[in-house]
Amino acid sequence: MNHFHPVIPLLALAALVATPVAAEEDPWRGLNQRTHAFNEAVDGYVLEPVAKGYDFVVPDVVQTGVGNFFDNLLVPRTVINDLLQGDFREGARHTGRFLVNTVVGIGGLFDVADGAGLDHDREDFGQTLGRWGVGTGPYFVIPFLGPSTLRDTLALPADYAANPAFWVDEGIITGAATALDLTNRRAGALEEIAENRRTAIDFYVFVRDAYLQNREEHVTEGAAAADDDDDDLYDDEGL
Amino acid sequence: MKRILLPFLWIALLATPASAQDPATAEARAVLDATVDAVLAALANESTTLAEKRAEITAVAYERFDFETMSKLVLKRDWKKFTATEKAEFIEAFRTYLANNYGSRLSRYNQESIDRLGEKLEKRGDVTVKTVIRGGDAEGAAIDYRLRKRDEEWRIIDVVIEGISLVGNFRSQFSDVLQKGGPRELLSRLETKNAEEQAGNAAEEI
Repeated sequence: MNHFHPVIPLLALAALVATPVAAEEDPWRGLNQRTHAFNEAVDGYVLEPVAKGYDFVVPDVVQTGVGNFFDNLLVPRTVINDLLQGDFREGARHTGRFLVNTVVGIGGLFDVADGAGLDHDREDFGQTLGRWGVGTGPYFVIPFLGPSTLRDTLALPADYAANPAFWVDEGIITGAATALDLTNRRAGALEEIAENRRTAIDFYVFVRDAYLQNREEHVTEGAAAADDDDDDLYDDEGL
Repeated sequence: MKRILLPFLWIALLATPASAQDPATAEARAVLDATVDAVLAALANESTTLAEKRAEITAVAYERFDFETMSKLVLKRDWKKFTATEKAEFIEAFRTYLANNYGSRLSRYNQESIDRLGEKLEKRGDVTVKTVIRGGDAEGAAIDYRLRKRDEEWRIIDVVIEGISLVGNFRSQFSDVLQKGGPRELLSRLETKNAEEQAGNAAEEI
């Protein structure tokens, strides 16, 4: 009975489709705050110190190369989602980017496509679901991974499966690659995260709001859907 | 021949962005350009120390941001729960808090430039100027500035970084504190942060 049952996420997704507007964005706050505290501890004791050491030892050029390499592996996911969103032009552009960087950029270590105007606007399955009208569902903090929503969490398995690294059959390689990717990305955000942590009035709410706003932007990009929301945000009449 | 071209001309005119004709967007854009240029010039100036640059940029920000409107938008319904003295205290504390918040990031400046992508007329006559960072770690990051005209002056009322509105983000953080502790609690939290920051800066300069 250990088998992962595909019906459960599908049922949950169906429930999300039925309620596109969440009544409250953070109904699971109690649990989320505990997970957030746990993630902060993991970061403080393991990830951040490791990333600091890495940042100190590894030259910037190498960090950029590592970042480019893992970013390139995400492009197939972007292409699939471009197509699922009916954006064939972007799909073609991103395919071009992947080919150029994989071949000319030596397996993605060098981002030569960017200079040619083939930049990477990441797309994932959570965004595609959003485009299709699936609501975000409640905010959800994933242990070790951080901020997400129910919708984006349910879309994660598809995101992983769309990464070529997932299909490498050597567990040790996949594990080491994931660790390197994570360390490299954490090293690139050392100052930013430290500053936000230090300056935020409430870091949990800061992260939650930043995540939700940023995701909303990626889902509605180009569309005028967010206008009603903005209208309320900038209304100071009678104040 | 002329008659055939006319519809095309008409379409071309319609398709021209509003910024080309609208004086409001042009005015707002000019204010934002001056602000961005002043900040970048201060950052690029090789003869000033970091503390001096920071003071210079803070002065520009105090002139170009509308902290009163921002305070109202951030507090929204809660604004009315503040007494007149508390309102003034909040505007002052929030202004200092923002200056500290963003001032501490200036040391990371590394020759980046800011491309301006265009303007958009918004509701209530606001104007959004879209920009993007070129160069450095944040290459390609989208930053939108929203400006509003009040008392005959265009000033910035929000900065939206990669879709994250500063006003929206602070409203989430502050409404939480207000719900639990009211205006006094929020003011004391802000003032504590400001004092910590000041102590940190003083330590840095020694």
